[in-house]
Amino acid sequence: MNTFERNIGPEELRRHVLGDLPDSEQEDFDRRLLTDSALYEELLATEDELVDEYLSGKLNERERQQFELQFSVGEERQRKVRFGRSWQEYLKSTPLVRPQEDIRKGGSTGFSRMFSVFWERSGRNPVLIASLILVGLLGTLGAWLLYRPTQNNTQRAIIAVTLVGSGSRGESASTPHLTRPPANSVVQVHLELAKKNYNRYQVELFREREYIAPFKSLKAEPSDGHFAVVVGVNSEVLEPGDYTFELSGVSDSGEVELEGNYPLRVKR
Amino acid sequence: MKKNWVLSQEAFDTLLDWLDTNREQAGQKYEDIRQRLIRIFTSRKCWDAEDLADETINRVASKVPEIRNTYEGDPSLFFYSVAHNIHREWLRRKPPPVPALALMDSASLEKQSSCLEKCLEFLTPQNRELVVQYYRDEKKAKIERRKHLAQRLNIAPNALRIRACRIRAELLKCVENCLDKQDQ
Repeated sequence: MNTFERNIGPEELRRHVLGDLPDSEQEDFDRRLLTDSALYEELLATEDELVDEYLSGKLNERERQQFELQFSVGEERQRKVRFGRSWQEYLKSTPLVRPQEDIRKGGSTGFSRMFSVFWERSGRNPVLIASLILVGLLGTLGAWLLYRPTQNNTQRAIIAVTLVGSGSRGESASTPHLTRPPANSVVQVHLELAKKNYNRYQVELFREREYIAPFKSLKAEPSDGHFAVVVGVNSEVLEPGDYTFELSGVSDSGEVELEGNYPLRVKR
Repeated sequence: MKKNWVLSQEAFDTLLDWLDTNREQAGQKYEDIRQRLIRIFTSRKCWDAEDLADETINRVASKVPEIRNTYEGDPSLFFYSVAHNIHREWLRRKPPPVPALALMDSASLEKQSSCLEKCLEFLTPQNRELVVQYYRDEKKAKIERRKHLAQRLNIAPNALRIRACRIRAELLKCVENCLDKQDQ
């Protein structure tokens, strides 16, 4: 292989940006940098990453010193550092919506345990099961209303919604909708599954194409002859618009596989 | 090269013609080569990297009339040879002192942040979402977010990295223009 064509890895790129390549490697690298646009773009991306690491204090002492020497040279690199600082400030000030883990667990596990017992003892009768779900939901809601914590931020009403994923029985149905939930409430979304293929699931919520929040380490619980994964979403998140809950199964080895998309339209 | 040789408009035009017959493409190539030369000199610890890059370009421009009919291959490699020589000459000279890396005061940061928010509005919703999602979070959450983004866009993780870097560069350019306008 020609030395021009050897692979240049991330470590070598970092060392070039930090001015830490030995002379023998520097010449090959520089020659290629002038002719290889892909390598140049890799270098620019590496610069951005080092700027972010520098500004968030993640470089070790040696790298920090090298960075300060390298980035004090050239107006463009100095601009990158200045921009990086305001960019990090912006990202910090833009809130990331977190899932309501406490509410989700509190609402679904009690319900699911109760449901499992009835499921086994009911002879799997769908009508009976549906009635029991309703009783269970009402019971859970009642218990929550009675024993809810006293802090203002957790005094929230629960609105339950059941969604059916695309690619299964609901594929041709129109998008289910919900009127914009009242402020300070929680929408408990039941994502139905035809069968339980995994011990763990995860859900990711999108508004149009915007990624809103992840919900991790979820269990599928029996629900009306099927299974359901339940997530709780704060009403503040659900402004009018089209949402998708992407449900994926997580294998024991940690591999993630998409199980289905669950659309929901929130109307005014 | 003659001492005190200055890049005339004619020499500059000849250089651009040599880089590409399309003037717009040639201008882009010129700026691209200049930026790469700056990186090369910077990596070699030349504290006057921008001056050396310009010196390289001037010297190449002065030679283009001689070589343009005989030179074969990528013109970028000719720049490399000249840059290499200039670096050797630089090593023989006494390097100037290293300037300190200047960060911003809070007033400048505020101006920059205001421009950044305006510039984000100029991006397409898809690009805005991509760049924010790509760079936010830390550690595991960041890795997972990026993995998911790549899956959704059906592109390789490195392609996503380059795409995010390009959008960030576009933002930086917009912020610089915005700051220039504020200063005027």
